[in-house]
Amino acid sequence: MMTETKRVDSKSVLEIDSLRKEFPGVSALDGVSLEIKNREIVGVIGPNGAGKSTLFNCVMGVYEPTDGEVHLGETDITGEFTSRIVRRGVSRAFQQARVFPGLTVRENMLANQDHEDENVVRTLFSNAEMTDRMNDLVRQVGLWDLRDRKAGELSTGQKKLLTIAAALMQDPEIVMLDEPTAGVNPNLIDDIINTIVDLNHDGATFCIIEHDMDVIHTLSDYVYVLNNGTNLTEGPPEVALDNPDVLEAYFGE
Amino acid sequence: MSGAVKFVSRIVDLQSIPLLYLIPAIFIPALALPQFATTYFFLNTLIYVLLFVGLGQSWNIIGGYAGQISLGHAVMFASGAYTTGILFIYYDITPYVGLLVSGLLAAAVGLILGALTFRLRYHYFSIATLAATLGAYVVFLQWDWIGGAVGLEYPLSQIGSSFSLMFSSRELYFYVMWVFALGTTLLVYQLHISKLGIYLKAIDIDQELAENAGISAFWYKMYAMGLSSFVAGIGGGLFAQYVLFIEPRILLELIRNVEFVLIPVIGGLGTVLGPIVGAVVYIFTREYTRTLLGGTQTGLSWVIFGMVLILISVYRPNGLIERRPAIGNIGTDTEETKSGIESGADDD
Repeated sequence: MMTETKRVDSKSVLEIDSLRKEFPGVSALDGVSLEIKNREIVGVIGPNGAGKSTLFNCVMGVYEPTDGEVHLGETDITGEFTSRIVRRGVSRAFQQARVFPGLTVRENMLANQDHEDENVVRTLFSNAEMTDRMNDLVRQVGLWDLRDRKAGELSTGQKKLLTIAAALMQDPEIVMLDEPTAGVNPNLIDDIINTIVDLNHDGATFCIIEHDMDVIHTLSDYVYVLNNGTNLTEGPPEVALDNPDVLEAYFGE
Repeated sequence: MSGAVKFVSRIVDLQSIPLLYLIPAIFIPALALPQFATTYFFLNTLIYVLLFVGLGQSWNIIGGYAGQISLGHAVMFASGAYTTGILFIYYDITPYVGLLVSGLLAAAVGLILGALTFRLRYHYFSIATLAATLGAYVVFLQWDWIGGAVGLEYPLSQIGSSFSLMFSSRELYFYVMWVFALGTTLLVYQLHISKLGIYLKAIDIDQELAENAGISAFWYKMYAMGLSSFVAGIGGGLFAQYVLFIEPRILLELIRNVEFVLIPVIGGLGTVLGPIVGAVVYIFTREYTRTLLGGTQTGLSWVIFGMVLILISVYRPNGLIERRPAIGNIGTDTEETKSGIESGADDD
């Protein structure tokens, strides 16, 4: 079901066309399509097993899609290596707040710096130094005082903030956030939401998987609902979330 | 014991001293050590310590930084030893050139092993490197041109010529090994403070996350393997120049691989100073237990060394030296920092 609505921007950043992913005995994605426009925050929701994480994994090159295409702007990035996709401009923050626990906050940022034009051999002779952008991002997510702490010592919420900052290090075209508020102390959820909103105001584009409907309502400009590996509906959050099909998918008849 | 370690580390807070001060503070006074070596045995032990500092640093690059457990560095070590030896014995090519060729050839061997296995995950690399050692042992043993099981001896008549890098004085070997140990330590220092060092540690900690950060794990592991193998090859060449004899058993026995691994593991993986500490602990334990017990109780030296290793594993599981960050200092945070962590710490 398609809902006519005005999107934030006309320029498409990421376009997923009829993506299919089959595992032995199960079809995790069965022709999912979605489009994320410039400077938007797009929510992707759906009950467990809907195919949200598989979708992210296919976009990021973790899984090779069985069929379908993923375009970043005009470029077909379907099935490329993850590191190549990231260097092209798609960043991802994992649901589990994955950081490099043995590295400090600053070292985590350095590991996530822009690798696009990097010469592998020269990295031995190029000293690890924080750029102004790295410092600004660490300050923006409120981790400046913890910059020399090992990332493994941070709380879950602080790790999530670090992953968001790290995902933005490459100045990406789009940031894929997998449940940014899951498992986080309620006191820090607002910090995470505010950080995403601020970064979006600064021009960042986000695609977010989230189970917390309040967060989706607050953040999203547009929502795609998946169910059983297919598109169920889409539209602005107030429209898509009130759709009876969505309620049925989540709660049954 | 851990209390004693804490007490000493509080008095001498090595972590707060910049590495660029610590490295000269270790290496420059070491130059005077031959003056105090009144016995051949002690000087020989010191020479092996320096050689194994370099070999430990070699393994540290691929194992300590990139997290790839190579069980085949003896192959690169042996390739280096044979290359330097054969170029000199058969072709009269000076070891000064031979050592460079040894490094390059060993790097090529390492890169071939890496290219075959780094696309695979988990322990394929370790298995492949171990298989390479066993394969190389058989090949070297059967290859008559390089001496087969009998090995090759250096022409002792050339000892003393500047061309030959063969000395009658053990002290001169000490200084050659000192240059090797210092050179490799400076290489690892540069690695530690470089972008490459951080990328390799990231791959070591979580390869999938490193890829997700845009780091091409395959190419960076290949780079680390090339550097590591280059150093191991030069180390092999220096070993041949010191013992003046090359044969498969002493170069490729399984314990040689274990030694490569043990030194940085004891000292501290992914640290600049770890292999130095590891080599001192390991070589002194090995040489003294061997000498004291070797004649009548062969093998007991390994039991004692095993006990030392267990003690280190229990009290210092990450090695005797702790990794320090490439930039900034751990533990410099303020009161606000501590409260910042505590305020968010309840949701883990």
